[in-house]
Amino acid sequence: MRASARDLVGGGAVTALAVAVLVALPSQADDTGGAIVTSASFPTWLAWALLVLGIAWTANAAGRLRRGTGEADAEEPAGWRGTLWVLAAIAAGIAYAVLLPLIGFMIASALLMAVLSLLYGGRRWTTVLLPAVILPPLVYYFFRYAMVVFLPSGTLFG
Amino acid sequence: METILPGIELAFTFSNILLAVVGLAVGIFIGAIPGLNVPMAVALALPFTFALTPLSALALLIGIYKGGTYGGSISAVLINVPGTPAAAATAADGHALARQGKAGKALRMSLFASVVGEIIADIALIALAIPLAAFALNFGPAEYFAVGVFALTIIGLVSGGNLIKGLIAGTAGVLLATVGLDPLIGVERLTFDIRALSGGIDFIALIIGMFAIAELLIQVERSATNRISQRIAEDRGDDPAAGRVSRAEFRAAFPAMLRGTPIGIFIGAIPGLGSAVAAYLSYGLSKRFSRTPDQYGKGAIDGVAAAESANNAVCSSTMIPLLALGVPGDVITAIMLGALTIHGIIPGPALFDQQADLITGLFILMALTSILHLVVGWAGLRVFVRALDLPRAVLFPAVFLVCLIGTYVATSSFFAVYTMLGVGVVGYLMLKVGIPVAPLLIGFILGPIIEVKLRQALLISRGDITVFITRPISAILLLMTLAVIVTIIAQSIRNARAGTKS
Repeated sequence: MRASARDLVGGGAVTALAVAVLVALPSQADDTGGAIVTSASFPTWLAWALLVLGIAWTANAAGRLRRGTGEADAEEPAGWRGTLWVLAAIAAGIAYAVLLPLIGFMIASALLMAVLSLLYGGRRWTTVLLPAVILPPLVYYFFRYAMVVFLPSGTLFG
Repeated sequence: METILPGIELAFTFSNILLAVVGLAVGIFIGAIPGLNVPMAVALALPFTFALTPLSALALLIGIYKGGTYGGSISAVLINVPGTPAAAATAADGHALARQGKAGKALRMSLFASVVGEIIADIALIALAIPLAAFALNFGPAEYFAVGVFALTIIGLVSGGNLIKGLIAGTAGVLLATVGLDPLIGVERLTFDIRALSGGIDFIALIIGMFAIAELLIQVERSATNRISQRIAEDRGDDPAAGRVSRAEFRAAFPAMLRGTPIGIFIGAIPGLGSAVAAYLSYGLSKRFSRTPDQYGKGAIDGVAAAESANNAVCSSTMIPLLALGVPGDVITAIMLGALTIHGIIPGPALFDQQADLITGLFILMALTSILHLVVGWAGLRVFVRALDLPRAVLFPAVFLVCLIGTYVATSSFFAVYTMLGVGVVGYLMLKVGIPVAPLLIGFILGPIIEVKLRQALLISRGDITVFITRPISAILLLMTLAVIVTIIAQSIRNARAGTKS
């Protein structure tokens, strides 16, 4: 995707976000509490500013796209594989937060480390498994003894 | 004078010195690794500062800031990839020296210049922050509003390279700051009936998501397409730390340091410009004044000194607006402002009056950290260059884990962990479309100041909006803001027309 096409999507997203905030604001902020500037005014002004900037960005990108003057991307697009890897990393993070109270810090962290290591290109067991086994206990005991913070030990294992 | 002894007592504790050393080591290490950056390191350290005293917390964060800014020069010299944007100017001559087998010389000159820049800038901080804070005691809400708008506008306009995108980031940051309780009347805003949002968007979740998770997602995407090698550096010769700086070489490069440091001090004191701008300006000026300008880019050791003295001088001078006015000059001081606020300390002129011992202690700590920087950097050079040997498949998952568990420990909330991941995705998308993330964070920090001062000024003036132009300081600052906006817009239009013609 060329930079101007990407800008068009970005500008559209900012515009849509600003509209959503403006629509939501009447039910999400009180129009009280100040001289001229009430509790609702400041977020309302900001949402209008965001709307104007979003439209300006979209118009600018559309103009460049029409003229064909949009610059090419600095590096090759990541493609579906890159997107998949990003989604997998986010899923790993969410799964970690879900599993942490259930299976505890040690196991959840070891699993997370191993999965992420594979995503970051680790192929040998020394880079995938060894840090997954060594690092979580080090972090656990650092928090326990240096910071006096008890990390979750997991409800599944009592 | 009566605050000096208590200040020394506060600063010279074993834990402060230890934390400054740890901060410097971590900062140099992280700064040396392309893909990891100084704001990320400071953000990740933030949860660990909660259990510390305010000064100990600052010792750690200042150590990371100073160490990280210097650390960027290690990869710039050794593999021609700047670990931080500020080290890009160092790469030109530093790597040329490395190719001549003088990497150790370049790394040591970079260290000396960084420390010289820091120490002079520490003195400037002490000399300038106190009178500025005394002057700022006359500031009322209108002036603070104008300072906030000025700082945010400059940061939004100059930090991204694109006018609209920078302003979008800044505006979005201020808008995000309005989520939660209204700071004046305490009613909820934009919380969508989610109880966890009534306290606002968590600061820790925001900065770790925006600066660490977003960058880690960019890196995982690159690793999927094999655009990064497994090891950061494959071949750097036998001993990259070999080579020393002779006394004659230091003396020859010293004028470049003396020219670079004031540039760094000046640039750092202006919100938004940052250490990369300072390094390039200093490098350019040093080349112009050099007797051998043709050597620049081919291994001029004074080129390394010029760039590094300027970029590390910025570390101290960005503290001037933070301490004297309570306005952060860059993203790292914005994080420090958040850290101080969490500890119940509000930077600004009143702090100089109410907690003079703490301010004195902080000044002493800044100077102490600069001296420790020399010791840690010198003693650990051979270890720090090994940072480039670490496999990314070990390093990045470990940082990811620290992000998740650091957020959880700091907030005791899984909602904050999910928020951090969500913010990380938004930050990743922002980076993909070229929106700078720094103005968003600065907007988030400055947003409440701008809103509260605006409303207070209008309440005091009984709704008279001319209060902002009838008070001279406020009027001057708002005029300066307008002038900067007009100049940058005119420049952009000129550039666009020039681009269309060509």
